[in-house]
Amino acid sequence: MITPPYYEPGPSQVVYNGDVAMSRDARAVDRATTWLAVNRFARPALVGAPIVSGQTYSLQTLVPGYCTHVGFALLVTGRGTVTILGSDHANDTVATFDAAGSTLDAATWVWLDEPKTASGDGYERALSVTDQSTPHEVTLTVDVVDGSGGTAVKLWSLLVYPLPRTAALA
Amino acid sequence: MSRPLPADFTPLRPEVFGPGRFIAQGEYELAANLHWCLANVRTPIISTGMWNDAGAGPGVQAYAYGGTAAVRAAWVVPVTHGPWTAWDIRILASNTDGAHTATARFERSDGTGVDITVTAGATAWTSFAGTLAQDVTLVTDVLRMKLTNPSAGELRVHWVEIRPAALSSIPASTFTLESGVKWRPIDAAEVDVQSPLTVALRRREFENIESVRQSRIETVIGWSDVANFRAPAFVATSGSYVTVLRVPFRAGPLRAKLRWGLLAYTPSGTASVRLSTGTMRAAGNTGVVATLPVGWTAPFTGNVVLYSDGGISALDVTPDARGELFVELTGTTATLMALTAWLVDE
Repeated sequence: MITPPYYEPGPSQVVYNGDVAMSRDARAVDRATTWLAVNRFARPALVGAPIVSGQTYSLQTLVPGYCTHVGFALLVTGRGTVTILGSDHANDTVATFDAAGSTLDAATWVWLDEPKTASGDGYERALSVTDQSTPHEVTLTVDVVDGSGGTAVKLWSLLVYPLPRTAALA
Repeated sequence: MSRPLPADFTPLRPEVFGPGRFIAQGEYELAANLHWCLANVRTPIISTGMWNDAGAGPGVQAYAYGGTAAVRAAWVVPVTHGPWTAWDIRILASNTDGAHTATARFERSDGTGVDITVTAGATAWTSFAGTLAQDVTLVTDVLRMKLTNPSAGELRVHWVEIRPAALSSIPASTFTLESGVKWRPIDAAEVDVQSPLTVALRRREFENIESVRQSRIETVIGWSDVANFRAPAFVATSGSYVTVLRVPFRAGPLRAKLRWGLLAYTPSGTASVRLSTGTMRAAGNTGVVATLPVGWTAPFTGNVVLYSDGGISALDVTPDARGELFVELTGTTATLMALTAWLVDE
């Protein structure tokens, strides 16, 4: 396979006879198939009445095969933290923010999509998940805590999304 | 005759495909990997946390609770053409009755459903699962969650996720997508050492790759409110539009449109929903406006509004980029009950 896998859908691949062309086309098929296996794009965002300080929620979602990290996007207002702990990772990720306002229109996006593999809690990062061939369930626990002296935190939306793989398949 | 479907995707070394090799080297694995992608590459269609509880104070009561087979949530779901034949349904639930089981039923619009039994005394956030056959004759369907309490307690559902069930084998049949791209499976005999590798087979592989990409259902939101708290949640009473939802998403290559379906109502009078994306706003397009149905009665068949209804349309998005979906309401007690939006190429 080619690393990172790359695929540009749309233009037709012109196929030719002959040994050299056969080899080139085989590589193109492998590259595109690997791209299908390891890249993920849209997933449903989690919305609802805003989650506020003092509450802990769990969710369980399907993580695709050959995935190494899941990232998060948080739509927030207020001052405080959102902590997320995954069932596949010993440590959590913590988003710390001070976003003005308290309404949905004023809310700010915070993206946690850096696949930082450091031990210890904290870091504004994506969380690692078990790298395995088959899709599996991952449980995520979300905690919202107000900071001191600021507007109370509201978590309006949460997007959990598997990051594209960056390393070659073993 | 067989259509290979391995348990794992097989990473292939580039030199396997070097000129001068035997045809069989790598070709079988290429076909098998394609089949693996078709069978296993899927994403959640519905992900709903039951914390839509503004009626009990924001976030205080993190579950939908049962009644006598009462509809507590409903979702519009896309039934795209492709290989998928069943929904894989996962819930996190609890049962306060230590002696009797409870039932969470998930039902299609034609009434066909699956009962998921929640064991007696199950503690909060316990996982349960069920499988429901898709009604593949439809373009969109409406799934409903009906919760039946145990005889001496309460069934509580915290979380619901619904996605296509993985395939356990590759069917011999073909399917044609809306774009005209056709999936045709590959037989092991076509890629064995005795078979000439044809240009036609290679073209079929490239078309199959596109089939897998296009048949992957990608929703950016699959949400229902909780009927227990319907009255105050996601309601607007205003002469101008009020933003009730903002949804982030990441669109893949060629995904240029966002189709959508929602459940909504107004008790009386006139109310509207307006949907727009960051792409549309950047182009000066304020959004697509749909009039909300008046009144609501379970199972809410009269409350469905679709992108394909007369006078409205799908939304524009920018391919291969981050985007945002905005949902606004106006009118008197304009109420949003559910929203699903999914990406397509067109």
